[in-house]
Amino acid sequence: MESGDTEQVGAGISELADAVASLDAGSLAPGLLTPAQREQLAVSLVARIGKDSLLGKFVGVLAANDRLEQMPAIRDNFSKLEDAAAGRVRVHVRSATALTDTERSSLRSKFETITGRRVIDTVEVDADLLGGVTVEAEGRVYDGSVRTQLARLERDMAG
Amino acid sequence: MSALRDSIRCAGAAAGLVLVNVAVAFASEAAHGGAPGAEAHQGPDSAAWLTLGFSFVNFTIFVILIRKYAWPAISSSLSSRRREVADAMAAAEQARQEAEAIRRDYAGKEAALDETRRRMLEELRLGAVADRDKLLKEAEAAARRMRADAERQAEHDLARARRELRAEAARLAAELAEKEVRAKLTDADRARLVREFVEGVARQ
Repeated sequence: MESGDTEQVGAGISELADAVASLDAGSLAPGLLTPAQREQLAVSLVARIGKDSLLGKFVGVLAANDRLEQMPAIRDNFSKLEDAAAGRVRVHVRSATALTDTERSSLRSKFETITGRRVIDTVEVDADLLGGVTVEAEGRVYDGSVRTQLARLERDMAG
Repeated sequence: MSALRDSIRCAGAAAGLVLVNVAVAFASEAAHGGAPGAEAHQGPDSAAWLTLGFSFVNFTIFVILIRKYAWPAISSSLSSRRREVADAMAAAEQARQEAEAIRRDYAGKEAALDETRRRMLEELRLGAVADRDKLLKEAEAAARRMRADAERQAEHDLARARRELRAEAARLAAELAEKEVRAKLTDADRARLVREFVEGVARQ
C-alpha cells in the first residue's frame, strides 16, 4: 500500500468511525441487527467511497461478521499503526492557559527527544489545572499541573 | 372320715352293750331284793360283786371293742388332723417367712430408695453447681469478648475519626491553597511553570 493510499484509507476509516460513533450507543451491538439490516447499513456507510473499494470490502466483512460496532477502535488502532509506520507520535497537551508558540514548540521538541519520533500535538486549555501542563503520549501521562501538586499535597497531609 | 364314722358306730354299739348289762344287773338285783321282807339267799355283798364283775367285764369288752374297731380310726383321724395342723403350721410358717422376706425386701428397697433419692439430690446439686459455674464462665467470656470488641470498636472509631479529621484538615488546606494560587498566580508564574515542566519532564 502506498503512502498516499494509507492516508486515504485512514481518512476513510476515520470518517466511517465518526459515522458509527454518531449512532445511538449500543445500537450496533452484536446480535441486534439482522444480516440484511447490517448489509443495508454497510451499503449506506460506504456509499461515498464505493463498496468495491478496499475499505468498502472491509466494511462489508465487518457487517457480515456483525462487528461494525468496533469501527472507532479500529480507527484508533489504525492511527497508531499509521503513526508508527510514519515514525511519528501523537501527544495531547492540556494547559491552564493558552500556550505561546514558543512554549508549544519547546514541548514538541522535548517530546521528540523523549520518544525519538516526530510529534503531532493537540492542545486543550483547561483552567481547572490552575497552572502548568499535562502531556499524554503513548499511553503515559506527564503531569506538571498545579492541580495535581495540590492534590498530592492534600494526600500527603491526610496521610 | 369313713373310719371316723365306723369308730362312732362301734362306740355306739359298745355303749348299747354296756347299757344292756347294766339293765340286766339292775333286773337281777330287783329280782332278789325287790320284795320287801324277802330274804336273800346269797346276801347283798354277793350281788354287788356280781354287778361289779359284770361291769368290769363289760368295760373290758368295751375297751377291747374300742381298741379293735374305733381306735385305729380315731388314731388315723387324729394323725391326719395332726398332719393337717402341722402342714397348716408349716404353711403358716412359710407364709410368715415369705412375709418376713417381703418385709425385708421392702425394707431394703426403702433403704435403697432413700439412697437413690439422696444420690439423685446430690447429682442434681452437683449438676446445678456445674451449670452455674459453666454459665458464669460463659458470661465472663462473653463479657471479655464484648469488652474487647468495644475497645476494638472504640480504637477503630478513634482511628477513623483521626483519619477523617486529617483528611478534612488536608482538604481545607488544599482548598485554601487553591484560593491563594488562583488569587496570586500571575502569567509570569504560569509561564515559569510551563518552562519548569519542559525542563524537568525528562526526569518523570
